[in-house]
Amino acid sequence: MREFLAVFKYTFMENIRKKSFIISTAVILVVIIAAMVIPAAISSFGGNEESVTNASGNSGSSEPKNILYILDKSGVYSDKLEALQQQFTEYDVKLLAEDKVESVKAAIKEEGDSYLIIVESKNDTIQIDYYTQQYMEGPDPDTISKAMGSIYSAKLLKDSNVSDNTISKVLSVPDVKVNALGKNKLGGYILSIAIVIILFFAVYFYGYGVSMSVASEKTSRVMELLVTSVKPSKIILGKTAGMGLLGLIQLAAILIVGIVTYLLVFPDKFTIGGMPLEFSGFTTFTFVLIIVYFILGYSLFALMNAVVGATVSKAEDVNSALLPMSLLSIFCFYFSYGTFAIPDSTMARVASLIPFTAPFSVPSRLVTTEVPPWEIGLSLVILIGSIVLIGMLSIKLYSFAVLHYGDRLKLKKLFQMSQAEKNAN
Amino acid sequence: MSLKVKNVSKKFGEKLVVDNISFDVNEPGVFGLLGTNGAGKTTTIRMILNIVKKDSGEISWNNKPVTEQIKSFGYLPEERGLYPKVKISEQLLYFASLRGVSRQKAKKDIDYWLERLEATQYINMPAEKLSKGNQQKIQFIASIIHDPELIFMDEPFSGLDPVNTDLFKGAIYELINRQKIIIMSSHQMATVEEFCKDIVMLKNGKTVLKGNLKEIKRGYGRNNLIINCSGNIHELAAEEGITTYRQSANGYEFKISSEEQAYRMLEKILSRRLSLDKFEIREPSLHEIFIEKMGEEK
Repeated sequence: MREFLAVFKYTFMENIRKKSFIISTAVILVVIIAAMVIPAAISSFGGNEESVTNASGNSGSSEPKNILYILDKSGVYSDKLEALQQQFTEYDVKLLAEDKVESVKAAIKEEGDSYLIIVESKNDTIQIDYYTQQYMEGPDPDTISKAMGSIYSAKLLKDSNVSDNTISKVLSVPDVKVNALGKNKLGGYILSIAIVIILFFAVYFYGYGVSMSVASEKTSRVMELLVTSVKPSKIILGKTAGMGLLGLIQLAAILIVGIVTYLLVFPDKFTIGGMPLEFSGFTTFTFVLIIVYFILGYSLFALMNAVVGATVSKAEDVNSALLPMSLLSIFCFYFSYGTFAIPDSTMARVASLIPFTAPFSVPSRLVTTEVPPWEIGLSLVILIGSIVLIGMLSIKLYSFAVLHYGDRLKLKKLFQMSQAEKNAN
Repeated sequence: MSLKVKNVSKKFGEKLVVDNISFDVNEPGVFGLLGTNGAGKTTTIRMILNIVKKDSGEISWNNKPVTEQIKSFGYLPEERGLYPKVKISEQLLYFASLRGVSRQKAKKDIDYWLERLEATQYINMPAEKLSKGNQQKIQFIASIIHDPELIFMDEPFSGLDPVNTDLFKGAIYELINRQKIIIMSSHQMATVEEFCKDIVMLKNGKTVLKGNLKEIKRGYGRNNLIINCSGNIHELAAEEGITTYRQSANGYEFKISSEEQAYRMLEKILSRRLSLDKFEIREPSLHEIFIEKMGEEK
């Protein structure tokens, strides 16, 4: 235990002081804060601008507004200029004579600061041609359609002697208030993707760190001194745990800074298209489980990475040796990622049970759906069992690999060696 | 204290690198594991330390098979192994903590040895900034920081300049005075000769010479005559039937069959009134024995 603690403490202290760790953590945190603050700043800035133009429009200030020309061939709107101006407060609405059409169109094409609506009436239905320099500029076609439509409807109703009161009731748009009672799938979906991406990178990078650390000890030949001082099992476990704690601290920092920034920047719920980004799935229980799955997922991958790191003789070879591991983790990540959209599907359930995909799958499902406790339990049992098995195998292979210099050891050779050893004893 | 190595062999693939080696070390002092490059010295040490598994034979320390006890041994590996980017003080403290040495004691001992080896100024530098010789000093401290009774030193003097070699020798004498057993491998006979009480000489994994160094030398007899004088004494030697073994800038080296031959040579030199700087009859040096043994059966 003393030896384990010594390795653990040393690994942790050495890495937490590394410039690369401090800088990368700082950069990640800044990016997270920026990712929330910048959109918030832009939307509030944009909002201010809007209110400014509204205010200036009301007070009739001299600031020139873009002009919305209306060419009325239907005869419905010619006397409704005031009503139209009310609908398009941001624009200066003007009626246009037919002979000016071409020059206005040319101006739209060149300048882009005016817009043209041509209204025709065919068989008593209204047809609208709308001219703008670019799509998505000028008044929204929906708004145009609604405004023109309601004015026309009002005219038709009035012509049929319907009372003004009834007309306004008919034309009022019912207000729909959305109340979603289940877990907010889509809101949770975004959150779960964020969590799983963070988990994936944490597992990947800290696993990589373990691998590098083992390989560099081998390269610098410190290994020989280490294995004569400490049991190899203590080294691999201590190292894995040390790096894991480092990853955990970074992960915790990311989550805490993320949540705190969110709460500060968006005191009201952040909405995407009117849908709040939902944190109701994010309970203390979920938080604890996310941490647990990070620890387990990391342990699983890190123990295997330690063996990979031990098979190379030069630190430069780590990347190529790690390729199969990287592919495995990326495949597992995408496999569980693919099941996010339907968190209750059979695929998703399977992903929660496979030890390699469970660390990504379960946390995401926790925030999007109700995962039955037995599924979580079974997933944890399988995952922990796998870690114990892989851990024991890793310790064995690691002991052989660390002292082998020369060509990179193939896994097959490694097994043969450990088998030969068993027979010899 | 006793280290016993009995009939130990090791094959790498088809190649027999250590062939049935046996030796005992029972007393404090330096035991020399000698041989050319590739003779099997390092492999033997690694087998004792359980880094390399032996194919056959027995190795015991204090009459118990060596397994867990390797942690109580000291080991200065042939290939220097330090963390390149880590401060000297930190890595020495780490190695000490792995061996279960308290931080306080480790600090005290590190300071002592750094000063002893004149390396105190490097304490806060990363290992990669140190010269090879200075890294060697740090490695040396790492190997003895837990005050082991049995210390393995694989080529301790390789890459050291004469000043540092002397510092190292002083430190090794200190360890001998502290009643440590040191197993030292080397191919630099001149450097280790003064330390070794007993030796095993290996050639291609086989033992070619073994025993107490003084007795081995005595067995060879005092058949080396060294004369430094003015004038050419080739002919004098030829008259006496002695062939010149080696002629250097300063003088001559002869192989003699009896001490009488040497004294007759001396009389002749004196009678010719040649000025004499040096006249020495001695046993062969370890270096000469080594060269002879390695040359045999070639």
